Amino acid sequence: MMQLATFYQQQLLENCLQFWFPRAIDETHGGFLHCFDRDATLADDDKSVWAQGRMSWMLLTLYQELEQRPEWLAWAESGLAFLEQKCVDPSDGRMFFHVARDGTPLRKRRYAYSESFAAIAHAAHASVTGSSAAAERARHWFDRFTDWNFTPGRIPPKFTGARPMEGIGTRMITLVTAQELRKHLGEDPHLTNWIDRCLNDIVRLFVKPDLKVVMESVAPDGSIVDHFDGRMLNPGHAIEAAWFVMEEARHRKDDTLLKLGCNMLDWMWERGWDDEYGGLFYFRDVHGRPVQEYWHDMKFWWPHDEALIATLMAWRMTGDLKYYTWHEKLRVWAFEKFSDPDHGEWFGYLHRDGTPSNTLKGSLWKSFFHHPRALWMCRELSYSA
Amino acid sequence: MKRLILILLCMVSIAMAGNSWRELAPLPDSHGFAGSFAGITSGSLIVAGGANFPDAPPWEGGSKTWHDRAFVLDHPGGKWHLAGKLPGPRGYGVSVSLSEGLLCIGGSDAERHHPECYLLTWEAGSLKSKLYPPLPLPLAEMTGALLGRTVHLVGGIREPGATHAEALHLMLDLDALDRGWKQKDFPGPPRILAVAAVQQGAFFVMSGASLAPDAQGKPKRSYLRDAWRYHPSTGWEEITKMPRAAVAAPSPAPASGASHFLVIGGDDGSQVGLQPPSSHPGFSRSILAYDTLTRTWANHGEIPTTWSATVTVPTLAWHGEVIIPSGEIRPATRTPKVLAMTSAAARSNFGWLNWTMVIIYLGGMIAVGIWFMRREQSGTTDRYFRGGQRIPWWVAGLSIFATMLSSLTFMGIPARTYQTDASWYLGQLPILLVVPLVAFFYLPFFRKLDLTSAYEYLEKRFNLPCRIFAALSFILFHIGRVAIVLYLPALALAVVSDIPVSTAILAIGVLCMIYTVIGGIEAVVWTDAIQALVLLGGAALCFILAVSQVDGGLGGMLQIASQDAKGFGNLDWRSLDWSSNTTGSAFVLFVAFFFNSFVPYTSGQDVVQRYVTTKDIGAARKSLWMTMWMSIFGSMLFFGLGVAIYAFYKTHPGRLDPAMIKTDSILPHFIMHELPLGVSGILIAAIFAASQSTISSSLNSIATSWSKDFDMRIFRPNRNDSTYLAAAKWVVMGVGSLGTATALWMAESDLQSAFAAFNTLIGLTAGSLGGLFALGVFTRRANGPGALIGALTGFTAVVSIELTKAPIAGLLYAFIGCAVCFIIGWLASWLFPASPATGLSRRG
Repeated sequence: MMQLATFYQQQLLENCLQFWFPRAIDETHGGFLHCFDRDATLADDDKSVWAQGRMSWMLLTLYQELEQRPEWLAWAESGLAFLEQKCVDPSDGRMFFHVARDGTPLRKRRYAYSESFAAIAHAAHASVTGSSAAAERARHWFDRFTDWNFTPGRIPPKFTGARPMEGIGTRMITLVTAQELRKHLGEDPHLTNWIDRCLNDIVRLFVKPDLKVVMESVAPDGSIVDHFDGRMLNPGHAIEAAWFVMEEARHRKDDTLLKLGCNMLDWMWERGWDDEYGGLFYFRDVHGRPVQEYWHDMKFWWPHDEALIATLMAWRMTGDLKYYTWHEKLRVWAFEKFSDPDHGEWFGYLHRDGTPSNTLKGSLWKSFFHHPRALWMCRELSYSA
Repeated sequence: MKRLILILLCMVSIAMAGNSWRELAPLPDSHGFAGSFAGITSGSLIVAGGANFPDAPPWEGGSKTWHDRAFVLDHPGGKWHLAGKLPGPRGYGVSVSLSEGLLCIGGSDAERHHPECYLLTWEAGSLKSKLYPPLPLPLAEMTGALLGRTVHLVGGIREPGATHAEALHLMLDLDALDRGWKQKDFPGPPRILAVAAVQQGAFFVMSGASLAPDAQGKPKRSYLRDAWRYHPSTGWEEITKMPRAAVAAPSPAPASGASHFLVIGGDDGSQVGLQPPSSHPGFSRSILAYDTLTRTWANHGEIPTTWSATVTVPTLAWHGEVIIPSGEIRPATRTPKVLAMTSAAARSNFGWLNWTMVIIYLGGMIAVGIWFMRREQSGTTDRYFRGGQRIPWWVAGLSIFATMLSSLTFMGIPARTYQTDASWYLGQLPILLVVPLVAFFYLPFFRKLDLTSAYEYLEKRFNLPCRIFAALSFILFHIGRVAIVLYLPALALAVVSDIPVSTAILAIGVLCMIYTVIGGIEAVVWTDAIQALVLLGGAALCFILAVSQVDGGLGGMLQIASQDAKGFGNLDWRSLDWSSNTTGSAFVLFVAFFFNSFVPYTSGQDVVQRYVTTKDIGAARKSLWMTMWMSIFGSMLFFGLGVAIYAFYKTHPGRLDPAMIKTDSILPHFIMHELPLGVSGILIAAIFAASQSTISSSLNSIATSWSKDFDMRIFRPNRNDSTYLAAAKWVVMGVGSLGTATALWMAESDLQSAFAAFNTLIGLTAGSLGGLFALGVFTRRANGPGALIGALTGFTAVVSIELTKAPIAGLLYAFIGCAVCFIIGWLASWLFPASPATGLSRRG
């Protein structure tokens, strides 16, 4: 498996990292620029608050696990400083979603995901530097994040209350954030409580063994809401959730959890893989009916990154060759279609047939996160026995 | 090397500290209660009021019902019985157990919140209530506890359904009830259902929930995990945030050991908004331990899965257990179960490897004794008491250092530094003045008179009674001291390891007695020198191992030290506060420590005897210089060790044992739990060494003084030298056995404190001894009767301060005794004829 490891390491260090750094560093205002066109020219100098936390976390993770390059640490710290100084709304202590290059706030969303990325970045920083202040910030943002996302009535409603729905996304991100905090700050019953709750919610509400599906949204009692939004599946998202669950199974040495993660992957791979052109569809309908969103059949970069991790992890944990076959099928397709031989990194958005839909390498959504995380994790998974 | 250390560290035997849990008889109500009042009155446990949902949870149309019944449990093995009724249904107030009874403060019923407070008592089978000063406002869901004789309350909510909580701090002085509740602001966010605690003389408040109106105008909770400390003299300060929220955790969080309190479970918010509420898996089981010294939080085990974690429930201490009676286990669900928790300190296995190290050390000491016994075939008292004056100066120097540094210092300095800071290092500096003083003003007389007992000087300069007074006080004090120096370290070890107290006492005491008897002063001095090296080496090793496990090593340690003011920051250079030993006044500390070393260096037979073991005055001076520099630099190690251990536990708070009863055990705790096998043995040997070097000196010096000041001088003058020598050996054996037996007796009985008090009383004469010698050396006018009056006055002065508990720092007793003796002695001497010049004072 060394070859696979070498492949991912090369992709990470030469193809991905070199595209982003050091050009993503904003020497003037601190933090990271990330809206880059194909040749790394700046398409927009606005900043995503998610990206500030995610990129800091990714750099710190590489610093801790790959190589202790002082500039990675310095860049991550600049991202953290920008986050704390420019991205927090002093009126309510929540984080913005979108700010101008100098930090002028542009948009705050109803929900609070920025906080979760800040939490993992601070946790990794705490673990790298031993700073108890950073550990405290990590806990702070985790609390803000869970408080805002779980306390009923806290998030202003987007729709009328007539058809309430719960999303899997909040559970997934809480799960992985708590896992990251646990990894960096140590075992903690409080984090375990949150992980338990999220796993419990995922099984209770979103996983439907009778239909062999993982729902994206359900009614508060777990029933399927038979409308466009309620039927819509996001296979890449569910596959990402699958590996979060497998990761927990690995941590707890729990075969039941591993089985759950594999089921989630199996079902959603079946539903998501495009047999005609290859790659993973963005949205599907649980009953095979048409999806309302018109980008439903596009191939986004991140579902493929998450599926690379999930298939490789499933193979390493179960030994089932089916997963290796899927991984290789996916790897060959994805690295052929998403790669840019001229400038490195992946494109973000492909048409169904695998041709680029646009030339963007970075946006408010795509930054130095899903792809390098997949490369780093696949490298690790290829090494591990 | 680092890897080797890591491997060795993995071998440390880990004995997990345990909380043990059990169940008392359940309350006679099938539902149980949340928010009831509970406490102790006349030795019985009483649980009163509270609320539950007798029919159905609120989401199925049930309604919360408040109760007024009071149940009593007379002893932990008994059954509950209905004692009577409260003045009305009531719950969610604060309970405080007083010696007078159970104080029930505020709370709610189905309609409103109440300001009333009343005291419940259970006397002769009937429940009585008595009104106490009412709160300035109706209040429920606040938290509170008793600190000293003042009840403190924080937070709460004024009326049902209010959308904001209170940020109040209310205080009721129980000794001034007519003044009523004093209302202050709580500096943190307003909150309900917070947790209180009391430890180390301070009141703590943490977690709870703040309230704000939601879109429909209903109160919505935010989970808080901030924590606050209130000290009557310094007010409020925010302390380290909790790692998680613990809303409505059993309160007050029970204090544990010397410096911790335990937050047991609580609602951490991880189930907030869970639908349907019936699927709630229960509240957090984890126990958080807060250490008030390192100011850190750590996880400390969990409530066993046999029981559910309960919230909105008071705690109380009863028959050595923490009682958690009833409480809420899930929204709308209570339990009638009554839990009892005890925590015991962890004792780790000492193991054969460690024992081997200790035995090698002890065997070495005996060998030294035998070596000197055989070398000295023709024994004389001169050899036995002065080593034939052929001890090399550096050995004598090391010996003085080791004698002055007992195992109490070995463990006490690091513990004190750990607990407060290194400011007492200042106390090491006066030696820079004391040693020159001794070397130039005292030594000439001691050497010129060719003394063996220091007190011979007093007879020659003054009169026999002075000599008797001094010798007697020295002998009595040191007999007691032997027992204490044996007992306390053995106790400290037994607290953290499976070394039995009696084994340690016997190992230190008997072996020490053997080599002291057979080898005389030479064996004592040489073993002292070896022991000085063992204990310094042990301390250095311990320091290195502690620092190596602090993140950032030495730099990290210094950073923590400066952050948490572990250096000299707490010294106050302008204050003259002499009221207690906690004074920060640099001047007072300097004066106190000056006399605390001046007195033994000038009048303690155990030290003075060393001055006459070397061949001449030059060698004696050199040995003193050596002692001086060792005290200055060697003691740095012990203060550094305290800081290193602090930094270690600050970094690894989970390694502390919340059940540790005394902070004094911190060094042995560290040695037993954090050092590799074998290394702990070396360190324990070092503690033994520190004990033995002190005890052997006491034994030999007692024999010397007995022999010279009593046997040869008063009881059996002009006998054969071998008679005195034999008697001296019997004295060593007798005092050694007596000390060991007393230490064993202290270990078995609970009269230690009485004995310690007796010893302290004798120790109070020490200051006068210093004063006597100073009168002799520095004044010409002082004479026998005057000096004796001075000595007795000095002694009386200190004793009366001690007995009247006057607000004077104990550290200053040596200074006071010495100064009073000197001044009164000098003045009183004018009442008597001047003594003829003897050449025994500076201007004599």
